[in-house]
Order: sequence, then C-alpha cells, then structure tokens
Amino acid sequence: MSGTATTSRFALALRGSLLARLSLGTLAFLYLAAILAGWIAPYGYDDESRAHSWAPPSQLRWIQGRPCVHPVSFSFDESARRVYVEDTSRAIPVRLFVNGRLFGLDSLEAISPQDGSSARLYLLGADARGRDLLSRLLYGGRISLSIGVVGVSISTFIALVVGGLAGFFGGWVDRSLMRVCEIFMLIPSFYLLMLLRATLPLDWDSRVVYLSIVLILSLIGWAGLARVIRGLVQSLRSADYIVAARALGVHPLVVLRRHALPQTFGFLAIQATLSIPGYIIAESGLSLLGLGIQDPQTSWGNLLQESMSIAEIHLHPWSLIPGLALFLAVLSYNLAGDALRDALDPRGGR
Amino acid sequence: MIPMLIGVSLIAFALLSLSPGDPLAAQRGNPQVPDELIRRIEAQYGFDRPVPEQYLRWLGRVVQGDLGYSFKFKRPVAQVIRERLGATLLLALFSTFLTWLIAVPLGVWSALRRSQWPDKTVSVLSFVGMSLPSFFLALLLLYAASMLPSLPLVGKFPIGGLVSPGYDRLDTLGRILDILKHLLLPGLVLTIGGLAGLQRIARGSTLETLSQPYILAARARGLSDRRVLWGHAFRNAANPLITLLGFEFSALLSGAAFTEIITSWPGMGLLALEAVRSKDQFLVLATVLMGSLLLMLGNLLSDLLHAWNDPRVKVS
Amino acid sequence: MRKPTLALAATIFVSSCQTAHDGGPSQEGRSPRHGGTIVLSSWGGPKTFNPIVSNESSSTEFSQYIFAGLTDIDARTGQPKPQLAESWTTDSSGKVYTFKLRPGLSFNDGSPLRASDVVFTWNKLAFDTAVECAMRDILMVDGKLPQVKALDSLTVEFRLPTVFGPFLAAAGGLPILSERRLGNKTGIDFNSVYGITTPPDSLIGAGPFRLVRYEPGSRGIYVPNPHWYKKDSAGNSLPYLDTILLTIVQDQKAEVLKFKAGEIDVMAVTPQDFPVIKPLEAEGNFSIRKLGPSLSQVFLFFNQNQGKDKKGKPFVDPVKLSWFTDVRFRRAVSWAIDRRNIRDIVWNGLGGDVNGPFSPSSKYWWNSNLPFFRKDIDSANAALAAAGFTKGADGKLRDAKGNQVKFTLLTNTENQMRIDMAGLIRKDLEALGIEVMFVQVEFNALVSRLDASFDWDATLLGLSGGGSDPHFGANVWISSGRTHMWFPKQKKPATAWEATLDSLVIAGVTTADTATRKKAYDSLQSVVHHQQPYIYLGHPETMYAIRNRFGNVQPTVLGGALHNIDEIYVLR
Repeated sequence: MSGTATTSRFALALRGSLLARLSLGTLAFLYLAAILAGWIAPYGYDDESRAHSWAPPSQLRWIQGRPCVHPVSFSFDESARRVYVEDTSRAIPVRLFVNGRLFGLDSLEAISPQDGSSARLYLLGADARGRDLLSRLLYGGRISLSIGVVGVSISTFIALVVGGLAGFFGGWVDRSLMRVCEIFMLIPSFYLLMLLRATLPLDWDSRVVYLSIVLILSLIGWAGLARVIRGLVQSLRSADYIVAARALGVHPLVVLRRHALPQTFGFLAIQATLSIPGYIIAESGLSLLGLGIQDPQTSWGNLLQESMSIAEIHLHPWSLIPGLALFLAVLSYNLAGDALRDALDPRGGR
Repeated sequence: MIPMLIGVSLIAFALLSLSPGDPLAAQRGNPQVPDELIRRIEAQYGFDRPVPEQYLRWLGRVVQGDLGYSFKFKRPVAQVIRERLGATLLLALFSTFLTWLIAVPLGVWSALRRSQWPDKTVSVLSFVGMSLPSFFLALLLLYAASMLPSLPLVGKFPIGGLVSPGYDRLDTLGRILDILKHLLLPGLVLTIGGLAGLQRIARGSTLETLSQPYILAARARGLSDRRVLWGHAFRNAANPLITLLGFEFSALLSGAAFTEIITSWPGMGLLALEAVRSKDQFLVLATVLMGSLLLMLGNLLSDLLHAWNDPRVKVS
Repeated sequence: MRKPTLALAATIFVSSCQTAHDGGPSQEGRSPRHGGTIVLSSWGGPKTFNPIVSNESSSTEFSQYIFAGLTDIDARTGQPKPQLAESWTTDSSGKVYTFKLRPGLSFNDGSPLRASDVVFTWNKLAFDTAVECAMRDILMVDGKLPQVKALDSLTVEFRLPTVFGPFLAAAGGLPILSERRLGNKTGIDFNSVYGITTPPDSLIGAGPFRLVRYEPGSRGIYVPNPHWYKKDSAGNSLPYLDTILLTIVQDQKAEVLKFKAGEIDVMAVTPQDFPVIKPLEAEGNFSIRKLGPSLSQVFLFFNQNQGKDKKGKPFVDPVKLSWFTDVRFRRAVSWAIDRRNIRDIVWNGLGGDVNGPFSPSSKYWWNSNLPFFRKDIDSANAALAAAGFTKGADGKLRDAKGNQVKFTLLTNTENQMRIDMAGLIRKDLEALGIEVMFVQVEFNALVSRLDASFDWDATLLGLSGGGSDPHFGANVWISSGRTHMWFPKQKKPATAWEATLDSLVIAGVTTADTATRKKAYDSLQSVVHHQQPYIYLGHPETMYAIRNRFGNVQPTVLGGALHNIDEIYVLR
C-alpha cells in the first residue's frame, strides 16, 4: 500500500464520518492549545498564590456587560476545610489581550488598594499552592501530547532497524534478534515499565528527564512492531527487483535501506498513529505514580497525582479535570485511528 | 519456554542491579538499627557478592524450587506470590467473565442491527469505554466512593482488600457475596476497559460470518435466523474472539496493575510496584517471572480453545 | 503519619509494649464491664510475630498485645513504670539494676513466668550474635554486654559494664519469652521462630491478649489472656474486651474508607484526612481527639560530607560544600522558609511550631527555652551578605567567587506531603535568589544515596517519633553515626560543634541521674537549634478518631490511642 493511496482513502473516509472529522478537529485544537500554552494560559505553570490554596473554580459574574470575578479569600472552618468567600465590593473584569496573554485579569486591576493582595482568575480551580489548573493543564499538554509522538518515532526506528535486519538477513541474525523480541514481549508491560524506570534516575535537567521517559516508553513498544516489520521485509526479500539489485552486487544494507524498508512505511504510519494513545496513557500512569515528569514541570498524569488521595479527591474534585483532557485526547486518537484503519481496509469491520 | 524465562530473568536482574537502592534501605535509614546488624544481614543473603555471582546463586536456588526470601515481607517469596496471585487471578477471571458476558451478546446484537441507531450508539459508547484510561476510571470510582455515605449506590461497595472484617462469621453464601462485593469496583474498572475492544471484534466477526455463502444457503433453506446465528455463525465467529482471550489475559495483568494500585486490591500489580520500590530483589524477579509465565499460559490457553472450537487447527 | 518515613520503625521496643497504665476504673461515671469487640487496623500486615527480631511497626503492631516486658513506658510522662516487674532498684554505682518480678506471674498458656525466663530471654536470645536483635548492639560497650543472672525465682540482676543512662527505657520493654517453649530454638533458628505461619496457640507470651487466629494478609483475632496479671481497682480481671480484630489494610486510603464505612473503630487521622473525616463524627458515632504536636519530625538538610570517593573525587562539589558548611547559609535558608505556609497549605492548619529536634510533646526532654523558628527575610538576607553572597541584577544569588547558588532538592516520591513542602520551599528560596531543582525519587533510592553514594545536595525527609528516650536518636547526632545524615560515619568530628554534639551524647548516656541527662540534652537541642544541620519545618498534629462506644480511652501522643488497651471497655 503506497502512502498517497492511503492518504486519499483516508480523506475519503473522513468525508464519510462525522466522528472522524470531529476527532481530528479535537486533536488539532488540543495540539494548538498546547503549542500556544504560553500565550493562552492566563498564568505561568509555576505561578503560585499561596493565599488561594485549593481555590475552587472562579464564579464568572456579568457586571456592566463584561465577565468579572470577585476577589476571594479563605478561612478554615472547624473541620479544617477551606471556606472561600467572595469580596463583592470589588469586581475585576476578565480582559482579552492582557499582560501579553490571550486573556486574564489585568495585573494592576487585580491588586487590592486596601491590603495589596492580588485577585486571581481560576477557571478550573487551583492546586494546593494556588497555581491555576487551567494554565498547568495547557502547559502539561505540551508534554503529554508530544511524548506519544516522540516515543512512537523512537520505537518505530528501533523496530525498523531490528525487524529490518532480522527479516533481511534471516538465519542466526533473525533467530537471535527474534528471541530477544519475544523475551521483551513476555514481560508484562507494567512490570517492564517499573524495572526500566528504576534504572534511570530523575535528578537531571528537566529535558533529560523528558527524554529518559520517552526512552523508557519506546523500549516497551518496539518488540511487537519489530516482529511485524521482519515479516514484511521477509516477504519482500524474494521480490524480483530486490533479488535483481543484490545480483548486481549492491551492498545488502543499501538494498535494505533504499528498497526494502521504504515499502513498509505506509503500514508503519498507520501502526504508529494507532499506538500513540498507549504511549500517552503510559506516560500519565508513570507520572501518576510520581515516577515521571517532576514538579514544577507538569503533565496530565503528574496533575492527577494530587488526586490520588481520598481527601483531595473528595474536597477538590476539580483536580480530576486533567483526566478528562487525557480522555479526550485518547478518544480522539482512537476515533481517528479507526478512520485510518477503515481507509486502509474498507472491508474491515463494517 | 524455559530458555525464554531465563532470558526474562536475566533482563530483570540486569535492570535491577543497574538501579540504585537496596532491600535494606529501611534498616539503614533507621537510627536504632545498628551497623553490625546490617552487615550481618548483608552477608547472610549474599548482597555483598558481585552481581553475576548473585544471579547464578539465585538461579541455582530457583531451579531447586526455592524462589528466595522477601525482605519487605519477611517471608518466603513463594508464600507472598501465592497470596497475591490468587487475588489477581480472581480479579482477572471475574472481569473477563463479566466482559464476555456483556460484550459478546452486545457485539452480535449490534451486528444484527448493523448501521441502525443501536449499532451506532453502542459503537460510540465502546469508543468511550476504550478511551478511558483505567487509572482515571478508577479515580472516578474512588471519587464516587469518597462521597459515601451521601451517594446511595456506589457508596455501598467497599474499596480495598478482599473481604470485610466480619468475613469469617459469615456462612458460605455470605462469604461469596462479600468477596463479590469487594470485587465489584475494581472488576468494573477492568470490565469497562476491556468491553469495547471485545464488542467490536464480536461485531466484526459476526458480520464476516453472516456474509459467508453457507450462511446465506442455510437461510435460503428456511432455517430461522436464530438457529442460523447460534448454530452456525456463532461458532465460526468465535475464533477471533478466542485468539483475543490470550491477549486479553496479558493486557489484564498490566491494566490491572493501575486499578489494583488505586483501589488497593492486594494483587500482583500492587506487589510489583511495592517490590520494585523497595528493591526487594527476589520478590521483583519472582513477580516478573510469574507475569511472564501467566502470559505464556494465556497464549497456550487460547491455542487450546482454538483447537477445541475448530478441528482444523492442530496444537503444535 | 504512617506514610513511609525514614525510620519506618522508630520505636522498636517501645511500640511493642504499649499496654496498660495503672489507672483505676473509668472516670466517665459508668462502670466498666467485660465483653465486646474492638476492630483495629494495621498497614501491610506482620512479617513475623517474633517480638525480639521484628524491627518494623507493621509487625510490632501485631505482637504488642501478646507479649510484655519487665517495665513499660508511662504514656503520659514518658517515664518507665512497672510491668512484669513490680519494682526495681539501682545500686549507688548506677551499674547494677535489680528487678523484682510480681509473684505468681504466668504466660498465656498458664505456665509460670520465672526469673529464669528473663535470664533466658536476655542471655540466650537477645545477646546471641546469630539473632537479629538490635538490643545487643545498643547495650554493648567496648565489646562487653551486661551480665544477667537470677538471684532467686523472682529476682533478676543486670550488671552493666558501664553506667548507661537510658537502660530502663531501652531494655525494660524487651518482651519476656518462655524458656520452656523456646529452650531448644536458640541460635540462628530463633530468627524464624514465631513466624506468621506459627499456630497462634503456640505463641507464648505474657501480654494482656493472646492471638487465636491469624489469616495471612487479612487479619488477626485476639482474645484476653486469662493469666494477665492486672486487675482493676474493684478486683475484676482485665482486659475487659472480649475480642480484638486487627484488620490488615493496604494503605491509608483503604483505611480511611474502611473507617468511614464503620468497619474500623480506631484510626490515626492525618491532617490531610481530617477535613474529610471530621464532619462525619455525629453520623459515624466517633470523636476525633487532638492530642498536640506529634513526635515526628520533618526537616531539610544539606550535604556537608567532606569525604572523597575511591578515585579521589569529592562527594560534594567543593563550591557547594563551602555554602553548605557555612552556618550563615543554613540559617538564611531556615529564615527564608515560611513554616506557617507549610502548616496551612500542607497540613490544613493542623500543626505546631518547632524549635529544634524534639517535639513539645516529648514533655520532659523538650527544651522549652529555645525560640520557635520563624520566617525573617531580612535576617536571611543579612546572613547571606555577611557570608559574602550577593544578589545580582538578574535576581540570582552568587557567592563571593561569583558562582551562582543552585542545588538539587530530593525527597521521596511516596509522600505527597513532602512533595508539596518541597514545592513551597523551592519558591521561598527563589526569593533569596537561590535556584532549587526539585526531584522526587523512591524512598529506597534516596536512602542509598544518603547512605552509600553520598551523591546529593539537599534532602527533605522525616523521622517518625523519636522513641521514649532521647538516647535512641544518638546515631543521628554522633559524628560517627550512620544516620548522622548530613555527614555520616566521620572518622573524627569535622567541626567543633559536631565534637560538642558527640560529647553531649556521651554525657547523656554515662550518667543515670535524670536531671544531669536532661541538662545534656537541653544543650544538645540548643547546639542543633543554632547550627541547623537539620532545618526543622514543624510538627503535624497527632489525632485519633475513636468510636464513642468505648470507655476509658485515654490517647496520648507518647502512647498512642490504645496504650491502655486492657482497660478499655464497651459502654452500655
């Protein structure tokens, strides 16, 4: 199956399915929001306000024809719960294009003339240190959404090398490489995840942490793919033009790289799209257990880490929202992947 | 099979010895545990030997059926595994059963109502189920449980552990009900996750089978739809499902881990996390080996079922 | 606070003998009666029932009801009080202790408990090199152990090689085991004796309850020991309760849910869970008792290790080491931290101030003359300026040689509380221009870095309760100690103040006079307060939720909720 044929069939399938279009739209929206996080998010990802610890989502009021928020402050009740009250004497308008960001409270208007405290806009509520969940969600999307794509690319690359070599050369190369693949496939992925994670310390630069998590995820996904590629390459090996090229004395690796592997690309593209949600979920799971992205950097799984205790989940249910974002991204990928699969095999399933 | 398991253990051992930390950290960090005691324990369990030697010593013992000693649990590893394995298998079987019970009829039903609104609704719902990460679903249920006692239904079902404190004062029926009650929430999480894929495959293979010439012929002979479906079509449609069963089982082992951790179900996934975290060497190795073994058995099981369902398939 | 803390089993011996105090019947106006069940919970389950070799709280929680020692610790005062021994005397040298057993004592199988059993427990079990018992190493001085011998069937004499101040607190609680039952199980075999597969009726101890059933991974069931020596003031036998059900829960989450569902009767409440549990008091028929700041400590500390690895490379970058060993730097960090914020944000406002290594709840030993630590950003900046640090136009702090001040802060990933604290501290230090990189690692990996590779800058950790005697923390203060975490296992003290700490620890242990000991520990707290090798962050509140249907429950910070379990009864 050549790439262009797939693309045009995919376009056809898209036209037919409302769901597929919706899902692609959602994905585009999510990625765009993540890329533009620095501009869309009303606050930075580590911009805290301790006076607003666990502030609930702000109530938007319509005052003088524009949305406004009242400043809030809390006190502990006898159960040590934070009770937030609005100061209705002041209303701060939510403005567009303010402080160099898309929207938010004007940083000067937000300051109280009486005590100098600063009001905040929390559309989705705040975390323990009064950081805006919406902003952290947007910044977290950068990591959660990119890690799948990068991870898939790396594991596809590993799979191409291993599967390509095994399928092309056959014999003991094939046998030994395939044994290694099988051994990796035999370890349940969660256990392998735990083991790999234990070997990579996380106290490097945040970029290194990101890469090491990508690497862990890639090391889990490559084996199955390598086996499929090996099968494809094996069947191609006997194709006339490959036999001819080898007979002409072209180096086997050149034949492999120039002629055999490119034949598998169409299939790979689809396979990769279908496996991205798995990577996104794996990263979130790792961060959820505190083994992934580290504070103050954030990812959706890392944001969910706060809601791992009954108390937090009960008192601050908005900390579950990052799970919804995760769900939305995975759902969109699954629906888009399904449309892609239909495009590849119009008979399949329908 | 054996060489594969040795390969698995080799990888696990290598990764483990590359990672920092050791099983005695709890003792080392405790001001009241004297140095001398720690040195004695180290020597006793061979943690002061070179890594390859440690591996060979361990392998030698495993061959003799001794899985070693768990430092975290202070018991033979085999005992710990046996307890947790039971809980995981119970959870896996329960949710597999529930999944099949719901998914297969649902799949067949939506195949029969192909492209009508029930089919479309089920299809969308199954995508939703498929896309809910197990840990998020578990957290949602945890949230529901935390609303207890204000929430009437979900709140009645306990989270955490296998049985209630009053378990042994119950009669047999009561005990079964008690376990089922505890199984429900974690089981539900896994079922919802597994439902979607299975339903889609059941639907697909039913459609495939219904378009076969012999089914058309049977219908032409005047057999009722119901008999055609259950007598002929279903048996053939079951083949891909059986293949799935093997995979399903292994996916459950991994998927169950997060569910176990969040709902505090005392199974293998939670054990693996605890073992790796405390670097409980022998326990980690045993959990990984046991996981691999279960995976192999899952595949074997699906091969056998294949052979039983379809005489053309021979078990090799 | 039972999340994994540094010392998972802070009170090895003390927690194994949290039993009765000599109170009369209930002061609540209702007369106690026999009968009823209490359901308790424990995390993770026991690893052994053997009270001599167990060194983690999950095991001692199970064995504490079955066994008893010569003396016990008073849950209110923290001082030793009689248990199996009805009295004891010390000679003028302070080296000879003579214990008088209560007459007519029996183990729970009815066999008599004599002085010979005490001698057996000490000489054949605790002092055996093959037995994994920490007591031996605690009491050994210059390779010499106390000599234990029976003077008659009710009198035991301990002859110590030197004066050992905390002897009663350390040794009195060691559970006495039966020679008749274990006489042939000594040596290396003893380590596996009383494992969790032991039939419950062969666990022979002299505690208030005995185990009748243990379901691995699920629970233990206890009934009263009919031979328990104690009676109430009306002469009725104790304990009052018919049954203790000790349920195993996986973790705090499961415990909270089970308590809310009414399946558990008593639970320690963390500041995190308090807001969720408090509103249910009336409906669940329980009350939460706030007892005061806990004994547990949480602190930040810097790596002051001056050692080098095998290749001659220093463990700590010399630039960083010069900051970390400068007391002005440590004080500045301490002044910059807003402990009020930590209390309000991390502990929901439920916590107490801190002035040093001991908690106000440790009563007698706490040095009340030291001021509590407070945020003071001006003092912090002044201290930094005095030490040659300057803040540049870019807002970053640099030392006198122009190096930017930044370091990595580690904590363990299992503890969300510490993760939140680390976040607050990181921001607080940003105000000084210090750049902190925060990293969470597993507890295990963290300890091996503190203990073996010494590859770290700053760490945030906690120690759970300090035990009944300040000497139990000696390993933390003495410069050669393994848990002298800022620079462990020193050949000789690296600084003058560490030498002072060494001498104060020795002063605290080489006299039996309590007032002299108190003076030494007061000075120790003062040195730590001023030098700040550990920068203390506060004490969370100790709280227990207890169902109202129980009478005579008198929880204390020192003794926990159930130190007088044999006197607790079910109200009519």
